[in-house]
Amino acid sequence: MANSVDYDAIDIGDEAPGIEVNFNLDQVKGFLGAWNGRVDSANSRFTNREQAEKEGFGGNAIIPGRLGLAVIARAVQEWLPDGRIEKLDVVFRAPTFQETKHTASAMVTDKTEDDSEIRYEIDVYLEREGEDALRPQRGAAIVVVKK
Amino acid sequence: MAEEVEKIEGIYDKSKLGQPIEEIQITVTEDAMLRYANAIGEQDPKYTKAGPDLIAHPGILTVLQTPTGRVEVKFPFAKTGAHGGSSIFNYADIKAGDKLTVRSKLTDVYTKTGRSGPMGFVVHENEFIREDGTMVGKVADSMVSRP
Amino acid sequence: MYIDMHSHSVASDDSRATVEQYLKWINAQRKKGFQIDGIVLTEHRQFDAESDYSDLAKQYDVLVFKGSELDTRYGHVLVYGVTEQLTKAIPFNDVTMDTHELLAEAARTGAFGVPAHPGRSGIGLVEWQAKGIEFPDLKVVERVNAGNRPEEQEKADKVAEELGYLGIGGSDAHFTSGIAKGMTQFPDGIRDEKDLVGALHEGNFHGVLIEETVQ
Repeated sequence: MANSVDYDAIDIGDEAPGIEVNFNLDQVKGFLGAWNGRVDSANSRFTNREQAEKEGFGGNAIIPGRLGLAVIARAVQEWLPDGRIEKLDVVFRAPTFQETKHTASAMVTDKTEDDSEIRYEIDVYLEREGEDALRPQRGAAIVVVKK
Repeated sequence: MAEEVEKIEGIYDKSKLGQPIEEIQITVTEDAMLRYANAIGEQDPKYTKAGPDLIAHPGILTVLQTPTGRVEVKFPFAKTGAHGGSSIFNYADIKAGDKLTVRSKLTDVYTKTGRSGPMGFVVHENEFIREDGTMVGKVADSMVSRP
Repeated sequence: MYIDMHSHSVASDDSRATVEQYLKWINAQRKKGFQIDGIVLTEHRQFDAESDYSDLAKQYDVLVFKGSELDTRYGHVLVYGVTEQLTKAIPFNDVTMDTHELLAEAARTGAFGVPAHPGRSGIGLVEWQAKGIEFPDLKVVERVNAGNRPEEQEKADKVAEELGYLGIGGSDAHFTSGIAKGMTQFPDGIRDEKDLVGALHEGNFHGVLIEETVQ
């Protein structure tokens, strides 16, 4: 276990520092390429603002829900680097836009421990900057840290 | 429009619920693992440093599964659709060269009403099984149809 | 006493919290000084008659009541004191059910219906009232919903004030850390769903946010 993280001190109610992201079109294209070599046409909701608007997403071209989920996983893993994310269950409640600042973060909702491991249950979310009540992605995760 | 939600009967072949749809084999390459980690902005060397210690990022199963089958469900009100969420279970580390069998099945179909009117949900689940029979992970994906 | 009148456990499709997770979290919140006495599980489009949470309720010293949140033609409706008679009269999974019929049938069978998040687009009462749909017998709405966006809360406040509705409060929690963020303050003495319906009829309650309960 890494010496830099005091897992004993992380308890119910504690929040991750969180990570900020602001994806642009090139980064989204990079993700689409990593998505099993998927190549979207130039006018998909992920690559074209007008198309996103036409499909009812408004605002800007959107990022794939899977990318938002991956950022949440990153936020959890950076906070608990020795842990394995055993379960990550995320509901996509609203579109997540490109060229928009989002924060991914997490909060411990339960912690159990035995001789071999610490088990954290955590709530996770992706929050759009400037809108308190709007978290386009929300979910729950289980992270296990071996002792 | 809301009345049309009642017509859920007959919009898909219910005999396919819970039954295997398709089974494919994939090989997880080091290149795919690195491309995914890079695309989501990951910096932890265990996900980004090529070599024998490299493991796949916990979100990667969401992008390894798209070639597998899906049961078509035609909601009468549907004009557009989106990814409604993913539930990932990671049971074992995935390493470069792992040959995985991906088994897919339809697990749920239901409707409800949301801010923008009727919504139809279709949930498919994919299991990822290594050559030695170990299930390394599972992903349930929920797709939402809207007017 | 303070009761969260609107919450969803994993029995609802879009919730990821178990009842025990909620109760553990409530005890952690109590240690911070917040007052929380109970919750009502209002699962989407169903009534869970089978589950028995009495042992968990005793273990964590939290009242756990069961209700429903139903999709209706004119928005979502929270139902308290659900009876077998009501579940037989109204198909709870019918997302096009008539709102007036539900409210009337609930009253007839000893239950109590309350329109949820009235300021929310598509699934709240205000939008339908603006289109001319009237609810002459309505007395109570969910005025405080901790999941409301600011503009949705403004609409809920406005309709409650203009039409003289009493207001309950709830969290609309779908995840553990959301539970009890909104609640209803009642006079002490509610022990079961029947008492809860009685208290709703008496009208001596109001919605609060958790921050207002600090001792």
